[in-house]
Amino acid sequence: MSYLLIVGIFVVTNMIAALGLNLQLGFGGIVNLAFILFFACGAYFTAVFTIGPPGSSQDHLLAQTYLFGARFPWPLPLIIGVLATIALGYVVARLLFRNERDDFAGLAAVAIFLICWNAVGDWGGLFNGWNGLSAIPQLYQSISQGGYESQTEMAVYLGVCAVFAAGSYWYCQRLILSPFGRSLKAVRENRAAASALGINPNQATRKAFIIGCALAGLSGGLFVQGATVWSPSTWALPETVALIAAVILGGRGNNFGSIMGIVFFQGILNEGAHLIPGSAQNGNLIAATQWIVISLTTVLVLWARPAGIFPERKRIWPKDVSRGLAKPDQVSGELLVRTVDSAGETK
Amino acid sequence: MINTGGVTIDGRPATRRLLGCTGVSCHYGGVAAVREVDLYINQGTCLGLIGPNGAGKSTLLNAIAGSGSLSEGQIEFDGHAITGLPPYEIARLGAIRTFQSSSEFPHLSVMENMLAAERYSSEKHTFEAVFLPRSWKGKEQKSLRRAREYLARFGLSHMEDEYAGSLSGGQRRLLELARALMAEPIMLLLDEPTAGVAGPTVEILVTHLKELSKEGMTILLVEHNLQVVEDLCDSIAVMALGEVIAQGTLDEVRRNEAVVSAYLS
Repeated sequence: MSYLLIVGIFVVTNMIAALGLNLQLGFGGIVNLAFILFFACGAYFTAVFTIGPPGSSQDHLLAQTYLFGARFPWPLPLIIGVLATIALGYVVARLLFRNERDDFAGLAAVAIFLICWNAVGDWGGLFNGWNGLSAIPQLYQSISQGGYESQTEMAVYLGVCAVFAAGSYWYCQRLILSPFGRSLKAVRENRAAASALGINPNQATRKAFIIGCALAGLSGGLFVQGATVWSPSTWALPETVALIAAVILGGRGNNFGSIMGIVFFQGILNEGAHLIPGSAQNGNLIAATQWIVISLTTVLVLWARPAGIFPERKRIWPKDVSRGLAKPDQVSGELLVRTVDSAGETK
Repeated sequence: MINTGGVTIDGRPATRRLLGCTGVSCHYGGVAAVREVDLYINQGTCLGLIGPNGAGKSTLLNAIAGSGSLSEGQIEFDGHAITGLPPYEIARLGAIRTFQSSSEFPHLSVMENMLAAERYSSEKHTFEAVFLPRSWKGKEQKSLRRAREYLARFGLSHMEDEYAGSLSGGQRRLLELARALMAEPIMLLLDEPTAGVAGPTVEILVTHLKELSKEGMTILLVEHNLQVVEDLCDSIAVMALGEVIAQGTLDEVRRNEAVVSAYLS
């Protein structure tokens, strides 16, 4: 039961990340190959403001070194994690979207990821280097200094994560059905044409990028308080590929599809690998199987059903809003053209 | 300078200059695609820009619309200096362009294409978009009505819920025009609107453009089809090798030896 609850926490927190990635990739057409960097940023900042100062009682035995270090009450560490991720997302967005070429943004994202990943790993004083952070208090520990005393408390944390996931889903749905969402999709479809209609493509792309990063940071912050450990090995470049694969499988441009992609990949494929005979004795076998299955599934989906299992939905407006209007053949045809009067005033 | 004649809007003479290009040059490396072009368009008139392939017509249109950079010169639109402005800012001032190849948003419905052009779309903050839907939903309802009127006018009502990518070539051109009108233009910059369109649809397009022109829309039309130009335009500018070599009515430019030699022969 405890195992299932832990898996549930991981799946639900990854759903939030998938929603952020779908906003970028599915609705904005942004190929952010550094996505996991923002997940990691949220996780690290939440961790260091939960774990306490370096050398504090529990950490003394582990001799961890890291910057900041405080034990703030929840949800302050999570908020700090999200804000730090937004700041990082803003800086990266300014770097990535100076050029309209997608290949530039994609390659630059990989370069930024590699710089950050190696910097975090090699600079031991930042987040304890390649060893990473461990003994990160779980939510109840950070509140009561106790830790999970029962499955009920784990279930409550799962519930907390589920509330955040539901909120994130609601937010993404509202955003994408709004005029901003329409502008974002227009930029994805044809940047030049969107710009020619008055849409600022860079602004729309940057906003989607930063909001997606914020969701990644939220996801990372919630995840790390379930996992209690966080190191560079847990956020290597292929982790972004796994998230992209989940979004592609579920359906780009469909929030529900992205969530189902995570359930399928993380809940079924990843955990299903533990059922392989002999896997208990060979941990590498599980990891290798997971990556083979994820990669193979991605290739098959892209080949057979490129829009994913739940493709992007076409928005249809109810026809009754035109009640009271003239029928098409009775429309006067008078144009709502802005004119300029003789005094030069635009009407 | 182009003489636009006595075109009137709402009974008033339309003599106000809407677009002015002064000494515009566009260089790509060592190649001068446009050289010191002066071009002026008055409110409510339709100017045709013709010339052989490579004459610099589309380059000039791109420069006006903000998607191509100028090496020299100034462009003014509706009293604003628009030289160097990005395309979306020029569009917000009211100069809406269309493209040589149809530029619909293929994976959005026809209605979504129309609403994407609505002026408030790009101005809405994400906070308001999510948490204050009342701030834009009323406008969206009005936009829906406007969009349906335009779709009816252009014979696309029955396609409202279809993906724009599933339309025929001619329907895409009509959608592009209808969508441009949703952006509330003062002036349309049309880059070969009949390119790749079958004969009957060309006639429909020309009919719509004529109606627009009659209703006071200012149009800059880049076009190869001289019949379309003759049907629509009050005046014509002929470009060759990046320069404007003649201006006037179609009859006047037809008699111009430089034009005959460069383009009509």
